[in-house]
Amino acid sequence: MNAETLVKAVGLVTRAERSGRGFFRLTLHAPEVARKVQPGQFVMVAVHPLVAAEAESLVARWDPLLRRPFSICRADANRGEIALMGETRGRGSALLAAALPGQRYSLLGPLGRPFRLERARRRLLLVGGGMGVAPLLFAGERFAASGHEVSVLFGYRTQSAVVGWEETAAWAAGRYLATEDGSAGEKGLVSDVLRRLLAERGKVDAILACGPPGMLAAVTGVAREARVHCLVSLERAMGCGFGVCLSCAVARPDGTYALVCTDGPVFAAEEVDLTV
Amino acid sequence: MALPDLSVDLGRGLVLANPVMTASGTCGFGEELARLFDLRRLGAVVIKGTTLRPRSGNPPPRVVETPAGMLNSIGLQNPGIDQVIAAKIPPLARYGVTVIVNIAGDSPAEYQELARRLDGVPGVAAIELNISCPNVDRGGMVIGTHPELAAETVGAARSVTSLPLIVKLSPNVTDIGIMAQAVVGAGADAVSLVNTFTGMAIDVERRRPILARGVGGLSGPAIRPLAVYQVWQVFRALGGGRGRPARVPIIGMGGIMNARDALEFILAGASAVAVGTATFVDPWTALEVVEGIEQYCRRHGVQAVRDLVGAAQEAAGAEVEQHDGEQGGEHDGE
Repeated sequence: MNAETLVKAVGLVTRAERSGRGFFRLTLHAPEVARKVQPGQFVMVAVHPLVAAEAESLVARWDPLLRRPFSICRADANRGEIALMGETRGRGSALLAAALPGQRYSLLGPLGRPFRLERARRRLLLVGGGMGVAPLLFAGERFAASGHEVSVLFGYRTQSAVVGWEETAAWAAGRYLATEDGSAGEKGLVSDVLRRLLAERGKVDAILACGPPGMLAAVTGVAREARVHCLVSLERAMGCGFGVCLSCAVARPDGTYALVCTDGPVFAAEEVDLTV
Repeated sequence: MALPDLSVDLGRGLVLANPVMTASGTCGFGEELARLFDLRRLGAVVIKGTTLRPRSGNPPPRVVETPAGMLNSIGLQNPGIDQVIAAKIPPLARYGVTVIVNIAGDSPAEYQELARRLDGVPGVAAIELNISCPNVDRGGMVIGTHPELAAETVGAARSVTSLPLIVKLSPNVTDIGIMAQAVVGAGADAVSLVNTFTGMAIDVERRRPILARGVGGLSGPAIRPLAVYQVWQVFRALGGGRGRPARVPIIGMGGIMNARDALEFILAGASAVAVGTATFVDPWTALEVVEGIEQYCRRHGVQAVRDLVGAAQEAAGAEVEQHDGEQGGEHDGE
């Protein structure tokens, strides 16, 4: 991990967007993190807003206790801002979903290994499922800016679950949208659309994928069949985010475990066994 | 006023510069925290539970958050004693960190073998016998809940090493005082408590336990009052009282989030404290606890932190001074 660069920072909410489905996207002013973070990295966010410094030690912010991991979906070093997105799943995300501009949150980060690609892998296909598009938005923008040809294939359950799609228009060379019920884009699973795209469109130098476990297992299977280099960004429940609690174990093919927080969250597909 | 004396003597030559250590299993082998601050500023670092052979740990999910706490079921994932001695201890020792090695085995013979291998290893200041891990099928908590087996285990380790032996006790017993007496009688130089409380969380939608192994160990602020009381009980069971030390020093832990929490343990009878789950939330917590204890001593005119050990025993209430505006005066009820 890039532990050398881990900092405890305060993120000031400058923008809070919400949708009726429990989706939220927060833009935070956190200059040090914004300057350091690379695509694929994440931050651990304390779910309780900070109070005035002189009262901070008096406030018990211990339920929920643990910070929550969030991929960075955008970083702007000039403005000193990062953005993260999530959906309400439990107590922690419900609190963060209620964040308001002007509130401050404690962050640890940036954490984890970023997406790393040789320059020669020019044509990239980003395959995202649901909220898994978050790190791909950041990666797509940066890799496109550095000369890669970036296409996106994003899949969602249904039209109202579509997030992050519009902004890909700014940098994506090809854009493919799928929903399981066909209410937006093509009807079907991203793994099925991916198989067809690889057959029809010809060569892709690397796939970058992020999404739910079942989707990632299917996508890595398709990539393996097509012999396309594939990087996956994994999401697991985490206690600490920096390698000491050993909670976020993911199986390696040899039966031992890797940690998503420090060995990942980005892995080469063959480094992890997603079927376990 | 001179700087308060924070040093603590845990017996058999184990003297710490201050009473704050990391709890085993919450700071790995120190590598991650060492990048964030100078570990020598802590009293000691207690490294991850180490076994004879490497262990890959339990299948995920290994952790679930619970009210003001968490359940873990890591399963003693570690690279094994040979690798720990060869690669994990030397960097800490070179750096000058006081290293305490936590060991776990299936049987008294395994603890003995682990202790034998650690005896004489440069940089190892003490051994903590983990007879209280709830997340393995054999050894661990089974030993830590049977006084005779616990005593046999301590005796076996005692016979092969001159290193200070700390025994980490399980709270999952009817009377932790009996366990403490048993291990002290068998040669323990200090006791540490508590390890996690066994617990379970169930996914009501899927109708099964959330952790892959079902049961896990509960930690975090949720357990702090339980842990403080167990320290209180052990202090008394070992003959301690106000102004009268226990037969061996106690290392208290369980949900410490800040210096105020740590002082509860010290006042209940702990000579030292360990910060565990709080490190996950904020890796600088242990360091802040050191600083907070020092500030407390200055504020209260305490010359040596050891003068506070067990100071809440007996006469609690009648002699407690009121200090306006201080946290201790108002119960925060978190």
